Amino acid sequence: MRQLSQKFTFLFPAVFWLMFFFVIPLTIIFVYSFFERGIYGGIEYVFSFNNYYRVIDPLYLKAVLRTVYIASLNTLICLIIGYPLAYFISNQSQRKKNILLFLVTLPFWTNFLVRIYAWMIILRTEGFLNNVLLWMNLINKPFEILFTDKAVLIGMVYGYLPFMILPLYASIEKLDRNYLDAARDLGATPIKTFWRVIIPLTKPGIIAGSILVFVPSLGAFIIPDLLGGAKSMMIGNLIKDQFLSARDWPFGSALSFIVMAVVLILLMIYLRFGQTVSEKLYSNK
Amino acid sequence: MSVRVWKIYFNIHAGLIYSFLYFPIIILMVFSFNQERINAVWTGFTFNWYETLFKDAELLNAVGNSLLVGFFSTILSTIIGTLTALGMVRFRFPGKKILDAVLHLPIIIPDIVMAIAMLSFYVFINLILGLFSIIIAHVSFNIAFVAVVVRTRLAGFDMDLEKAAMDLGATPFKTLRYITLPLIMPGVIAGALLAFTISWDDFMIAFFTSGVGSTTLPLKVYSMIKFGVTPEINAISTITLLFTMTLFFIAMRLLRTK
Amino acid sequence: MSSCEIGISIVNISKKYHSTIACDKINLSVLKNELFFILGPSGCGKTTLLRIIAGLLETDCGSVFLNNICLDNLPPYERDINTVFQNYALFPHLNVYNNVAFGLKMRNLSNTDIRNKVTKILSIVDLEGFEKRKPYQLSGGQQQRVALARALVNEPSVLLLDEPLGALDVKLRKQMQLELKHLQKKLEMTFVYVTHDQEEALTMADRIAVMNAGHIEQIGTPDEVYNKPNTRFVAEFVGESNLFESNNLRFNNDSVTLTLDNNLVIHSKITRELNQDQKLILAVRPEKIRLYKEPQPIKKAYNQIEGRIEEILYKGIMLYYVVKINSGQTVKILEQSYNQSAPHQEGGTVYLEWEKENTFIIEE
Repeated sequence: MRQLSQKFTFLFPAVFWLMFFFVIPLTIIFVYSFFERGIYGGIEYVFSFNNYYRVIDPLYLKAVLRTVYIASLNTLICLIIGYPLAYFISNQSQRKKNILLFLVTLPFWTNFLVRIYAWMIILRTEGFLNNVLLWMNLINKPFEILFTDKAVLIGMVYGYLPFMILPLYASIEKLDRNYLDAARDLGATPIKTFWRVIIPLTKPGIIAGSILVFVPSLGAFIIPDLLGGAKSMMIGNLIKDQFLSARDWPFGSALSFIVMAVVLILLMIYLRFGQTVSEKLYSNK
Repeated sequence: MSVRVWKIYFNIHAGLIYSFLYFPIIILMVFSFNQERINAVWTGFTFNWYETLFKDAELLNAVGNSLLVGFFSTILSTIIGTLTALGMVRFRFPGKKILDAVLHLPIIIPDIVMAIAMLSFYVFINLILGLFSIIIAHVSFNIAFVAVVVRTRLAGFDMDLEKAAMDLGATPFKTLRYITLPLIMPGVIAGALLAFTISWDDFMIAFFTSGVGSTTLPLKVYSMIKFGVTPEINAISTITLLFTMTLFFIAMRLLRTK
Repeated sequence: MSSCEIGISIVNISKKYHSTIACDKINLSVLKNELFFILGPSGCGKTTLLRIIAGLLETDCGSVFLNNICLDNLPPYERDINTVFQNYALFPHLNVYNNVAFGLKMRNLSNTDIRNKVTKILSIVDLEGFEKRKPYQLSGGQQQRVALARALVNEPSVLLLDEPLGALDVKLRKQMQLELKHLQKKLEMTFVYVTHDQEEALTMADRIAVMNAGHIEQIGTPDEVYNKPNTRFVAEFVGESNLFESNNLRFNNDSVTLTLDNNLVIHSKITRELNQDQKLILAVRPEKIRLYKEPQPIKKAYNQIEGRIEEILYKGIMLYYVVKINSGQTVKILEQSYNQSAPHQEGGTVYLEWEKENTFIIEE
């Protein structure tokens, strides 16, 4: 009985708060996603799957596919450039490791909007990059890169790379160096060691990193909004438009829920090995 | 390839990535002191843009709003998050796995989804949008961040200390007050600082849940950016970057104290 | 049996970590098909030496030769040498079959060849039917066998074993010692075996190199290392020894005479060339000394001294006596317990006798 009241004191506030200000709001948009838009932008309480069908409408499908494409490409690039860095960090002395990891996490904790804005200064036509290239005579007239998919991709990699590096680092760091010695001893060249031993043994980090990059890429709004052009519409922009300009909340909700569903499925894959989120997070690094 | 060639490659690779991560921030900061207004060409040093910031009443108002939102959401989320972390480490109960997942969900779901859910909820209950609605939404995801940080700290906490205290006659409350809290305090403060930086930096949720007159700093910066790139934005960006970097640095220091 | 051909030779190898010296100008040769032991306490540099042979560590100077070919510029994956690692280092993501097949796959053997070789080696180490298991599903002893099979299947010229039995419990360890020894003889392969367990080395080895603080103290057969230790370290690390030190030392034709305080005299036969400028210590193993209640007739081949029993410890099959001799030092004596009760009492006067031949000479 005493324990019960203790549990209540410790956990009730969070349960209460998350119930009212997280679970119920999500439930509301879930329910909305099955209704229809009213004539003046309100909500018509008629049950239908129409909003989900509309996603396949070529008008929107393009944005959805573009989002998946850019998010996948971003994940792949982050993985390819993040892996060697994570490996590099894990081979440093403890002191250096701490500093290098700190430098990876630091940008994450600073203003995302401002950091993406910084790329506008660099990439715009009269921006830093063009000026430097002109000055070095590498180009003779400024080239347009801001407001293109390239700029969006640069922003994506820049914004989400730390999400890839940290889990990769965690699993490479855990990798017992004896396995590498054993592989070399058994005749594996460095490249074979990498593909046959290092990659399979750091798979949890690769999966975690990929999910952690892919998920926010799907819901990205600021990056396509600031760096992308009118043609670089992604799901994030689409959702925002449904809520703030088109006033079609049910459709916006449906789009959000599709994103949510993908996130949840990916999360389940991540947790497939039967561990809870906390076990992943807090099991001795 | 020999080991030495690989080593050189890894060093260059790391150098390039760190440059990539910090280059934009440095450019931003450098150009906040540039006299030239339009072009990204260095023409001379000036504090001009910082001075204009302090004359901008709207901007100062936005800073005030951000501080208010940050302050209240940090206090609430730190209390709830710390209690949750303690509760999750101590107790077993049915549905713990579910609570655990729900607790971490606000961290992982895209913030735009969270933002529109909160907006729909507020409209549904007829809450007038304003600072209050932003604070509530910030607390929802900050609980998770505080709980994660405090739990990391608790992972190195010897639960026998609590038993020893109770054995010596301390009530559960006194144990918490005199033993547990002092020991996990660095984690709690670090969690609070991180919660504050997240709230201070949040654009997405404020974008959807702010009302008339409750513009926060990121919202103000966003609308400035939409009008075009200016040195004033560079200046305010520099200030906000340095501010959060400092908070984060202190938080990390605290987390490392024994 | 080992032949006289040299398998591995190590020439002047040195290795430093920061400021500590792990290997200090080490020279040694391992014969073909020999079961060669490197014995020493932890931190003496024996694992470092093994890793240098495997090519997993680079030396500061010196060379390793295998069948008279210098290996210095060969990376580990091109050396015809395999290792059984201390904690086995079995790849956790591969099952037993794929762990054992790993080295063969690296050499691009055909699948049929691989299958045949793996099946054969698994039957040798008694692990048929375990192919599909993952390492974590195996007991310690089974993991040890997989590690052994994984190295042996490549038929290397030399197999290196780094404390291969260290993680097993005593009973299993003793059983595996014999199995490994028999396996080595059967396969006719050169083994270099690193351990800190002197009993393991004495039981299994053809020859032992005793290592201490980065250098080699003595190389010899188990009998030589045990019965004729050359240095104080070997005398004390391999088994127990009673050491007698004094400045009063006299050389005769074929023997040395040491006079302790109170005119106690100890003799030893000279069996090797000695540097007469060095300080010499005489020593005897505790089990070589016999205890008598009465003084014994003086015999030419024996040392005899008087003492008083300070303590008797019961050790199961042995009795352990601590005796204070007249020079003031204590001497340890091990005697088999023939009877239910101890033949001597604490405080009793006893006479210690041992053959002069069993006294060995240590150079310092």
